[in-house]
Amino acid sequence: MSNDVLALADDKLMLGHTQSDWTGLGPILEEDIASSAMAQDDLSHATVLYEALGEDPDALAFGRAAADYRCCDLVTVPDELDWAMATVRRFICAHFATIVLEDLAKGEGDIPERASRLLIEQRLQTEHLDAWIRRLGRGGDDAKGRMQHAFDTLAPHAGMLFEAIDNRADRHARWCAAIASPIADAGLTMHTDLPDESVHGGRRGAHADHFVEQHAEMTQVWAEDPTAAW
Amino acid sequence: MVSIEDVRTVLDGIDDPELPCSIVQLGLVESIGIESGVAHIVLLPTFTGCPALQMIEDDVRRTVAAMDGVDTCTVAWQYEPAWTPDRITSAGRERLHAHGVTTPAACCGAAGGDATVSLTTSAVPCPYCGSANTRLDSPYGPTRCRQIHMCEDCRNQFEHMKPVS
Repeated sequence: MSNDVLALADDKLMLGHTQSDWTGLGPILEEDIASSAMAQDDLSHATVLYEALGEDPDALAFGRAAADYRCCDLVTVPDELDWAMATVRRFICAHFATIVLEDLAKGEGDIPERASRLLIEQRLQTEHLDAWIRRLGRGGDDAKGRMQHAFDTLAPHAGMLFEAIDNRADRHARWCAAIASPIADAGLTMHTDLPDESVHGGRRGAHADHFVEQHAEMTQVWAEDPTAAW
Repeated sequence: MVSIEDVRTVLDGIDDPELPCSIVQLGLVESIGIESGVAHIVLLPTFTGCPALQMIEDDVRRTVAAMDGVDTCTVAWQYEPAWTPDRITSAGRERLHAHGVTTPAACCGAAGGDATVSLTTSAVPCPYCGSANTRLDSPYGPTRCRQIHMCEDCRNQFEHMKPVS
């Protein structure tokens, strides 16, 4: 259970950082704000989950070696500053987070209260993102082409969300069901194969170069002075 | 001897840093306890990512600790029950409305958007002209707890406390 909490928290920490790159660059003002607000959500969710593990959130966020993070590759894979990639990545991750939080909300101890609270905010994200997947998929040939390219590019990374996760087959099936209808309504397709467990990725510390680079940048201040404050 | 009501009155004088409304009126105060000169305040976050939480916590701790009969004040954030706009008091609703911010239960209910394609369904009356001919501009507004609506009649934008449950 705590492995899943750490995996989800690390996903959200990194997604919050990578999606923050869009602040000020969103294609329209409202979505720039929405994207930034969702990044803000993700960073706060990571904090709440780190606290649930009984750890200092800053120490977990910034004080670990790269190999000790449990995020998947998808959350840091470069989006080439392409809004379709950013939107599809967020959509895929938001539905995964919803499924894990639903399960954590039924668990024991300190976790369910926190997971239930986060689930409220998470569902606002999925609702918003579902609407944008439908909207952009139906938005003409250019938009549809970009969205399909994003799904094709990110699909191989998406399966690794479920690496070393409890009840992976069940959760993968629920995730497939949750994303199926917006994707179909949009006239788009996505490969949703579950990779073999022999493939090692970020959840077991085998991170891609893009994560290692992001980690070095993100932890730079902490590495120089762990007591630095705002 | 300071009473719980005394503390509540003082808390009702603390406005949210981002809204013209006190933290009591917003429904953020879940419980107040007093034990041998120590005040224990339990608050609910509107959204976990609200950047004003630390400011609110500091305001509460400083203000309550300054009361006669209170030595120190502790502040804890709690996630259960989850805050919803239902917790906003009628006085709070009036103050928000006077500043052009509408609240879900005060009007005709949900405005979460049509989940099919449109992002713009709205049934929230305009706080300026009262028209029901309004639409949801964006579910993500200037703060985590507010969304943006547009009045098609008087052409004003206004903010609505985000319906959450």
